[in-house]
Amino acid sequence: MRIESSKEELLAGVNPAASVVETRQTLPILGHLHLTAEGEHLQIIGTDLEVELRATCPVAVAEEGQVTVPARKFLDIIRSLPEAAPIQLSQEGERIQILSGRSRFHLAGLAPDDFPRLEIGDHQSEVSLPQEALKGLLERTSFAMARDDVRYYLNGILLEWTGNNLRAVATDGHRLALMDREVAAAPEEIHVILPRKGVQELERLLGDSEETIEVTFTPSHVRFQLPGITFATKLIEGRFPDYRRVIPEANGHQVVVDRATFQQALRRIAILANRKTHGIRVAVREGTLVLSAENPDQEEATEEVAADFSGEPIEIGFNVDYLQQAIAALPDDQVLLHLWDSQSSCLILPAAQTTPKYVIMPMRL
Amino acid sequence: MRLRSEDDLDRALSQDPPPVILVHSDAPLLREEAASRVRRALAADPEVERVAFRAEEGLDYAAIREEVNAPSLFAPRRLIELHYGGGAPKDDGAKWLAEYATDAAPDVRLLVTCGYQSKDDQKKKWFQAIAEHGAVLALFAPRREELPGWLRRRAGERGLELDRDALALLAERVEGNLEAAAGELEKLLLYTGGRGGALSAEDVLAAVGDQARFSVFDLAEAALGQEPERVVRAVASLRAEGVELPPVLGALAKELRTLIALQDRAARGEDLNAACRDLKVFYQRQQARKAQARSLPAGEAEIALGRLARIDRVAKGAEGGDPWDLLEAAALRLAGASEPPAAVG
Repeated sequence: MRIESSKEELLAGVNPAASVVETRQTLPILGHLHLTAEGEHLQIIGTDLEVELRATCPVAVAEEGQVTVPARKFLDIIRSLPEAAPIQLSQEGERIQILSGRSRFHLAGLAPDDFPRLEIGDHQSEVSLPQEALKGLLERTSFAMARDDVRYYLNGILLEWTGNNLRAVATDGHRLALMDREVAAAPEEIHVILPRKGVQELERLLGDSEETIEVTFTPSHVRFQLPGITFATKLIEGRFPDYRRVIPEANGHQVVVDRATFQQALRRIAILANRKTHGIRVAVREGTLVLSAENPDQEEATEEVAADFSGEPIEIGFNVDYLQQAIAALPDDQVLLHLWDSQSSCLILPAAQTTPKYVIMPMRL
Repeated sequence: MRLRSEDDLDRALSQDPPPVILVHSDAPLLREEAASRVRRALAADPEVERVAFRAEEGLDYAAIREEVNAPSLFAPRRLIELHYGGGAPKDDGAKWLAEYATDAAPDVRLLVTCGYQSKDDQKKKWFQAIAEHGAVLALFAPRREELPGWLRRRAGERGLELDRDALALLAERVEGNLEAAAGELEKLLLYTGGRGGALSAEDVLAAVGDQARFSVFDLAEAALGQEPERVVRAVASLRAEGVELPPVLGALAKELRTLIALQDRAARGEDLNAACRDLKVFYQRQQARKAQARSLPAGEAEIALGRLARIDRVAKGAEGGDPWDLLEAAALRLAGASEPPAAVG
């Protein structure tokens, strides 16, 4: 293999491919990137056996071929080379030489045929949707995913494609985030759980453009075709809990507050919340929402936020992190809260839309 | 509330389950089985979510607090388990448990398992708080003489009926090893094709291997207790388990020195009870030691000590011979057997 390219063009492929490579691997080759020079392109693949990212960048190919390079070192070298000078890659047995200006590096590769690939499998259904639609769905729900939960099916996002509605749901058992989005109809109903790592990688890769991406579903995997990048991830097998029954009807005591004001007040109140439980008190009364926190050091904080509310006062304990994350993810300027009592979950929505929906269980203070 | 038995526990669970349930025992099998009872009673309901924290994975009390105080979206009731293995709650954990027991979450039943808490440990705040607001159950591994009875009950629960000889044989075979005992009963049940029924000593012999577990102290007790058969099995078991010789010799030598001191004092007409206290003889062994001091011929313990010294040299390669064989011979002579009995186990 022998190619020549620029720093900018190489980085466009190496950056995303290297980002899926884990810092610690079970197999040495999983710490490598697989490079293929063919035609007028260099294809770069990184994997951790759960996800696989394939990036393609245009290069001048003098000699076709395949090699592997240690991902981290390769990325660091390309990143720190000067902008202007062209970069040459060439293969010497299993060693790979990088030449640029007056710099020269030799990296130790491994046998490229040993590089593991994801077996995607058959029975595929293909759909396409705008990048920003998927990005929005993930961004507004992913914060509620569980982390390393023994209920492994919670460590990801449920995607449900029914007719022309695409829905994303995430929950860790104490709070839940749901968002609906109208998209092109899928040929059949799709219910899959995207694993946490795949979600995080996608959030990085997806842009805000209207450009469509192709999505291919198989029973065990899903593949996303973005411009210049193909990203595939295993799906989580398992049954997502019946989330519908825990989303309350929007018929509680309604409180409307300004999102930015509420968010700033939460940020300040969190400073003095109990650091072990993250608990704060939320009280609503005529025209005001009052946040208060106290910690074991006897320190206290109170915040008042103007609110559109009339009715009997209600007081409920909440985990301030859950509130902050939900409010931060809301798209609208006005927040609508449905409250019932101190034992019941609350429902949070944008004031002018019906989606996204956030459900948060109260906590014991 | 103090519970006295597993049946008490079942009763407490079937009525209004206490908010905190503590099971303390030094027998892992008994702790685990009590925990299963709690799970069967409380977590079989799909409306109950179960979360377990275990000391061997490191207990993060911030995470535990957060979990306990955060009701579940999906389940109206929760069973939260804290397992300390053979250890006990300390510092942060003890403090949290003491607080929590007085102010338990309404949707949570908390199960705590830990090692046996002595009378002194039971005075600790966290223990008291659970005893007052929840339920406490202490479980003890059956003593040697209680093991046949324990096995009979356990066999009965599985539809097995063992006669006296079968029980005695099984008790002897699994000496001191409850997990093995439980395993052997399961094996016996399989032996009957899962149908249960009556079993004799021959059946047990046919179905069960030698599962006894001896400690270095058991050998000394067997030798001084004049039990040659048990000496042979203890030596074989220790040897088979790959136990190092020095601690075995050390344990036996220590008991011999105690005996020599006791015989010495007896010869001077001193009170043996006081002597036992001075020599820090373990309370449960005092009766036996006093009897042995009286019955063992003078000079016999010194001879045995001399033999142990020689075995030590053999073990280190300074003299020829098999140290384990010599140890068996020395222990057998102490046990009063002139010739080794026919090989057992």
